[in-house]
Amino acid sequence: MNNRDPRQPRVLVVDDERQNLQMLSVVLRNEGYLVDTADSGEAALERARSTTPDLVLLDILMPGMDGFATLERLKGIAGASTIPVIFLSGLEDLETKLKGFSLGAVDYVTKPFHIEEVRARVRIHLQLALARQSLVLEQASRLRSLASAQKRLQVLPSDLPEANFSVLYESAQEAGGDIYDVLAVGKGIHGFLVADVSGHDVGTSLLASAARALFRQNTGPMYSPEETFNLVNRVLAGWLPPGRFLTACYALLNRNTGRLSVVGAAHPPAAILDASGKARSLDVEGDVLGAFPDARFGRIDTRVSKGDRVVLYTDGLVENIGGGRTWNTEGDRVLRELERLSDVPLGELPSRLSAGLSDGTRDDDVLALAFEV
Amino acid sequence: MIRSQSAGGKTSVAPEGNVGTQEAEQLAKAMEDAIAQGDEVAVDLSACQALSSSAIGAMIACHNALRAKGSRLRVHGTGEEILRLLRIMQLDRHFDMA
Amino acid sequence: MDASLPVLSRDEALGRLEGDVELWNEIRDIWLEDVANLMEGVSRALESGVPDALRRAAHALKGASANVGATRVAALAKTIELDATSADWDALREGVDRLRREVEDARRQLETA
Repeated sequence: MNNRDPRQPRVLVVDDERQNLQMLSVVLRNEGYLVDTADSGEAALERARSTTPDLVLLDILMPGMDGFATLERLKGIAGASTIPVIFLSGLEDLETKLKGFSLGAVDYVTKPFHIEEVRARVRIHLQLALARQSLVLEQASRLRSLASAQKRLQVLPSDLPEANFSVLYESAQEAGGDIYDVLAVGKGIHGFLVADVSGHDVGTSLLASAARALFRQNTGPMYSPEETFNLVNRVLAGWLPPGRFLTACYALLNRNTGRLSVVGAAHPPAAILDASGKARSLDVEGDVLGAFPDARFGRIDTRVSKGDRVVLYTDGLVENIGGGRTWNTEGDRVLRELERLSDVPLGELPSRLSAGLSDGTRDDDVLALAFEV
Repeated sequence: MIRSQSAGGKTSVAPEGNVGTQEAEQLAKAMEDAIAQGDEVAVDLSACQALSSSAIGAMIACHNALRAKGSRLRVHGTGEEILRLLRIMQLDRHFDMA
Repeated sequence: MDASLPVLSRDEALGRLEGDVELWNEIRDIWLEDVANLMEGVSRALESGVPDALRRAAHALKGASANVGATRVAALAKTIELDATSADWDALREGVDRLRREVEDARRQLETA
């Protein structure tokens, strides 16, 4: 939602059929919405850029760029990535619906339209978007008090043995900005978070504990990892002082299905060492957290087997700015070191990794978290 | 070291070498001054070897301040390594990369 | 296609529009203006022999006709849409001929409705 009068939300209707555009415009205008129309995916993207709608109704089967491609591109437009999209289609098969949802559509309306249904779905999704927005604002105001009250409470491996992890955290100064967390999301499902708050002053550790609390609040079975990041981002974007941001990597491991999902926010990539001793990196692109209201976060899903190890770390493990080294050039060094340490017990892995990668000139927090499938 | 040049409503800021936490403060200061006098801001990275997260924070703050005025931070002279870093962090999506 | 389907189900279409006759008149007018083009699109796609083109053209005619309540046209166009990727082009040709006749029937009824 933007700064326009919230009582008159703007809806963009996209359909190559004149009749559908006309019908939906009339119905929605009668409801008091501002309506824009576009007769192709290309025109829709242009419209979305210039007017920032609050909701999009999007036809799937169109000549040229179809609805799926349009949605993907829409998610990439600054300011448009969080706009709820409802698909319109005469295609009723499950596969089409699932594809729409997997691309981030929030709902689906089947043709020929029942205008009562269209109206109801538009209304509910605008309400949800509004509710999400106020939830974000409310969390932000709650955090202000929370941040000053809460001390950082670290989860220790012994607190959550079924998560099977170990961690090394060395704070360079009192004002460390690195955080980690391990969450039991469900039976056999654990979330592992590593994040880094930019800056090195007294305020940093306060921001770090607030951020950690924020991740906790927005993690759970009802949120996908990207949604967690989106929510956290929107709260932080309205709250962090200028120039402050977070980078983060979140790994969600489901031991029941052998599935690992990793979401990244401009953070050093997770590294995975398989049981045969080969290491690879799980590169995932994403915006920084807390600097841009319309940030996007990439996610990768991969299969893992029993015995595989995953390491999450912060830039301090490998970086040396004075020596001209930033984390993005050091990924391979981490992988080789990890392969060298394939026989080390899990409990020793983070500290051995840190020792192996150190050149004795560290000036930042060092955080490495390892878990075994 | 941070060199800063201002002319005709435009300020160019050029950090040199490895921009750690302390240099980042100077960078932030130079960009804040430019914005305070209403200038467009460009960062010249041609003499820069490495950017710390504080330096990146300073650039984001400057960019967001410019955004509020309908403009963007211009970034040019970026070497290959730093360009890769900005890309991984998706900052090339936000900054005006020359 | 079910032979018992009516050419025009105006009441059903109106039901989807919550009885808004003015809105129905509007989409009927658009149908009357556009249907020649939509039908032409189907014929041309058939001549082109490209299954996907035929599928899309039939899909467009189906959608417009379903909105207005031209039930038989919509049903037949849907059949052609679904069968377009099958190899039986003789059957498809026959279907498109029938579709042309159904469109004329629907047009007559819609012009006076």
